[in-house]
Amino acid sequence: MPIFLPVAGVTINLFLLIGAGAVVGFLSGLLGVGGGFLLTPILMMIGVPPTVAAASDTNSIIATSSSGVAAHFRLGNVDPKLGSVLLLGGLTGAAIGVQIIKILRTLGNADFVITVTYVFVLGSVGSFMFVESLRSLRRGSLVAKTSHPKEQHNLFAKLPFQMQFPRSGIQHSVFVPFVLCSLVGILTAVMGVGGGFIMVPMMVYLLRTPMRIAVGTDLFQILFTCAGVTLMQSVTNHTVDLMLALLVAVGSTIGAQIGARIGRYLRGDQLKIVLASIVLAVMVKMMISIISTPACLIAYSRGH
Amino acid sequence: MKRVPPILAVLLTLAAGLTPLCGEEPAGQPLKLTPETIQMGAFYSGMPLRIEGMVRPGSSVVVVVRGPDVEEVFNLKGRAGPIWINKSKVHISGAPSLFLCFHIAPLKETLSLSVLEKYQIGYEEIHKQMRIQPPEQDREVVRASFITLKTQENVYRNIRNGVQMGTATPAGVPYSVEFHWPRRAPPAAYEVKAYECRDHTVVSQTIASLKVVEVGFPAWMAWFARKHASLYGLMAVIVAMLAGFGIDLLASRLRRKGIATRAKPSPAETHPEAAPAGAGKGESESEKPPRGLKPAA
Repeated sequence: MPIFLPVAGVTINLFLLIGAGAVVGFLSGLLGVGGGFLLTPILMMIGVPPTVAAASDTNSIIATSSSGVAAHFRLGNVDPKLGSVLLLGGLTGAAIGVQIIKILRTLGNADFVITVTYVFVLGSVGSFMFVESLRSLRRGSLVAKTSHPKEQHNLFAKLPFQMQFPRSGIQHSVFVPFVLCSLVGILTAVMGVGGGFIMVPMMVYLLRTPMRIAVGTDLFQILFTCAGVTLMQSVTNHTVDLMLALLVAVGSTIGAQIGARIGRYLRGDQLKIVLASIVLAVMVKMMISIISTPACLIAYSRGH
Repeated sequence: MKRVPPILAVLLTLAAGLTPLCGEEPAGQPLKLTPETIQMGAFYSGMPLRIEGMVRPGSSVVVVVRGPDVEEVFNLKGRAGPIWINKSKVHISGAPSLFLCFHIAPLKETLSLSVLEKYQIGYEEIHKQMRIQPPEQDREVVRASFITLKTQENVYRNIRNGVQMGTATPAGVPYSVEFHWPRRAPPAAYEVKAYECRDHTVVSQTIASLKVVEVGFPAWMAWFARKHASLYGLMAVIVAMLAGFGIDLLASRLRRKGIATRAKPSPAETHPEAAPAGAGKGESESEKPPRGLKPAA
């Protein structure tokens, strides 16, 4: 059943869109990753223009993360103080990212930069996950690598404006979470991802936040950062397709429920290798698209 | 010199004004389009279109559907090391947004080159009309790429054997063209022209207009996103949040319902006398944590 996406200006099969969301949601539920970093390239592959895919993906993340935040809030896994600092950083980064996209669109290279950023990030994340999972398999089990949770980074401890975060049980200069989250905010705007796959490891390994608080607080800041990015993309670039975002969100929510149920019966390290392989395959597909000679040497410029 | 009577002079002038300049005969029956207006709704994916008309016996037909000329901006790709990047921008104007040409025999066999040029029929004529800015671009590459792009989108098509001729009647020979209107064709007023051809020239032409309009929810949403971007963005955020919280509410209710169903005592537990032998020994199902849920810390 075809459906006309008014902002994207393309007609795509309704079930293909829900299916794409469901596949990513399934992996998300199965493996505990956000999935936004997979959804944008998949949308691009099924014919959604890259700028619309990235912006609408951000919008769909609002739906999926608000559902997660509600659940984590009930369990007390959200640190509002740390979340607010992260949110400020995220919004600052997002504002920078949206302006970067605006400039690149005017120059005609926005779609290209999004593709290259994806190739780089998916390549790095995929390789890291693959190697780590392989090591885990060889060891026989997954071992948490939070080796020295109480050890403070000397550089961070010397920074000014130290702040206590009682819910997380940590103390940091306010600049540390702010800057880290600004970088993730730029990625959110450029790639249309929630940034959880970068932010959670950063919070656990660099900020020493407990894992469950890191996940809940990250979702909290993702929700508001994505809300900010959606608003900015709508006003600045007119690339948010609400219909596309909702269809994808419906698929990913259903997929996540199924994935979470199946995930209980499967081994984590094997699943991680599967995810890493998918990530690397998507990266290779995107790399081929920018290396191989295009069938047509001109493409519509959406910078005007 | 013999003087021409005034009434005769008036009649001669009128006759001269009514005679087509190109030697065409007056058009026959008007073109019939089914439908006359194409509506782009929520489930729009192009739609079947039928064009019908009538010509005199022995004539051939060329039907051309043409969109308005538009100026479009494109990125021109070029190699930078191993990868292809957008190197510069090109403005292309003077080419129609859509060009569909249906004919029976090859165009050059049906019409002479001068006639094709005069009526602007065929890709070669589009090539000639196209204006490219900045002019220093490789014009042939840009022109060829433009046609390739439009052909990929199905908005430029040149279809031989695209016209079906019917059985001759006293009124003439009916013909029809049936095709799927390309979904990528933007909303606009399109011109449909049918050329009656004989002896490599056009003897008459009939014209009709086809409208493609956005309707319903998609039209409203596209307009809202463009004209009220801030409100649209706010709406996108609120709708997505409500959807998320709604899903959470639904999921938690279903979960609670599922737990309650599992925790409901079985008839065997409620009526021990009805239980089969051996039942009720050891740990009952209801005492175990529900499958898949971890016990509370």
